[in-house]
Amino acid sequence: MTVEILVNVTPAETRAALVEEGVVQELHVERRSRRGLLGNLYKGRVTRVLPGMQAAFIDVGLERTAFLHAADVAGPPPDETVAALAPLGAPPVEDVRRLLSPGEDILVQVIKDPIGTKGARLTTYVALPARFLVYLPRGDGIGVSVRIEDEQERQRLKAAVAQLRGAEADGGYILRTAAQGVPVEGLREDLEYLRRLWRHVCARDAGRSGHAGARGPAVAAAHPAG
Amino acid sequence: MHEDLPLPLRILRDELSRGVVRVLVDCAAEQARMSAFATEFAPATAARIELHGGPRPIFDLHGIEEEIARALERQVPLKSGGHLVVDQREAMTTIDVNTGGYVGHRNLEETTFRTNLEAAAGIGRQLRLRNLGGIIIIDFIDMHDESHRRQVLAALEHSLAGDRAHSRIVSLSPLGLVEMTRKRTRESLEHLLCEPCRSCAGRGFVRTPETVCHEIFREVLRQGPHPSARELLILAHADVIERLLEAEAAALGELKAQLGVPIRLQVEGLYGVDQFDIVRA
Repeated sequence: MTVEILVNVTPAETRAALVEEGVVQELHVERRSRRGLLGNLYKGRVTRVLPGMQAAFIDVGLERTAFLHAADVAGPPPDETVAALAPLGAPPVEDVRRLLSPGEDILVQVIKDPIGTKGARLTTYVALPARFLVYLPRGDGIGVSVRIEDEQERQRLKAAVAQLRGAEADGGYILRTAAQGVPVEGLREDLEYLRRLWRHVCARDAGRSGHAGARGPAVAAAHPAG
Repeated sequence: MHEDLPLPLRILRDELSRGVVRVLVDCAAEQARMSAFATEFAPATAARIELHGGPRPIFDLHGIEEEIARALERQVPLKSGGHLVVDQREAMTTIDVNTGGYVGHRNLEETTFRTNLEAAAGIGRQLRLRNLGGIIIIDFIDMHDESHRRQVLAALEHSLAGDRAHSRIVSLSPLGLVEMTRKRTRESLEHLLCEPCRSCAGRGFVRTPETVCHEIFREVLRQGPHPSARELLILAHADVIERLLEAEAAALGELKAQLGVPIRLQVEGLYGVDQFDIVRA
């Protein structure tokens, strides 16, 4: 099938048309006013640590400092005494002061857009989506969307990603619902793309930290693939 | 999280693998950004991203502006002369299939079948184009022939095949309605580009001038005669005033007599048909 994509860019609006065999099949419109920050990766600086709230405020170069809760910080393996002291039933959360200190630079991802006067909410558990896979650089294991119900298919997908990933323990993967029935080749493309993307982010991140003292926070990636 | 990529890159990510032969972009900076992305994502395809030059806007040249305008219309004409009526409502989207004046075939069943077949083939495209999701109910024209029904459903299924969004034909109800769902990905084109009508608040209907005239009469009577009022002033839409002066002239005369004060009518250009004010002067 012959597919053409036409893209029309104006300062505040981008439109795209998908044309198959000369017939317009899809129209997409994106306006700057509607574009959120969700999913964006930033190199941020810890400005305040609030032990009472188990949280920290991070300057990511936005109008308002962003919020990072201790539960959303990937840290060193939990301290046993802290875990023992945590109330039963509640997941043990690391003391925020052990995880973050003011002035520190960290890589964060926006998980909630700023609304009204509330700043954005962040996490350090980065998740990078592609078509069929979501890559969790700081996670582990291979998960499959519960909406893929066929047990054989779940096993096939898991095995395929395990093999593609190889021995390298480079984080976790989630198989999205869209992965159902997708041949290995499609999964490979995604996996390779995500790895390249993450290397790219890390390289920029490393490049930044050299000047971290002199410079303010900067966008590590305007969005995961930017 | 899937929405993170800006549109041009997102569409590359989703479509490059599907045999895209050419990507035309009318902005050099965007073209560079897309090429860089493609180089990273699928290197072999990067060269297919070209800059659109020339004086004519890219969407005009390829007829896309017209397509967008058409995709916002309620009616979709079919080649046979029939048409679809597409309504996106709160709970669901309904698509009505009409024959219009199509009498190309000798018997009614054949005409119905041909129109339904063409409609079914076009519906898949409309759902994609308009990005309609959720519950979709299609009211095909009644068919009595079982094999015709099956063929129309098969045509519908076929027209949904090229769609990335997952859809499912759930059932053919006893009244001949096709119930289906299409996975909602993002806002429909209509919701992206339009807002509910300001006159009717999205209902699609406003009260007629006649209804409004009668409301005005009731309101005047409710107020009753007022000792200090020398005259009543009625402000309303031109159509309503016109009706008061013509079709409702007799009723208006009776009202004047009953109240014992003159009634003055004034057209208010900014009012909607259903808006009016009654003022004592």
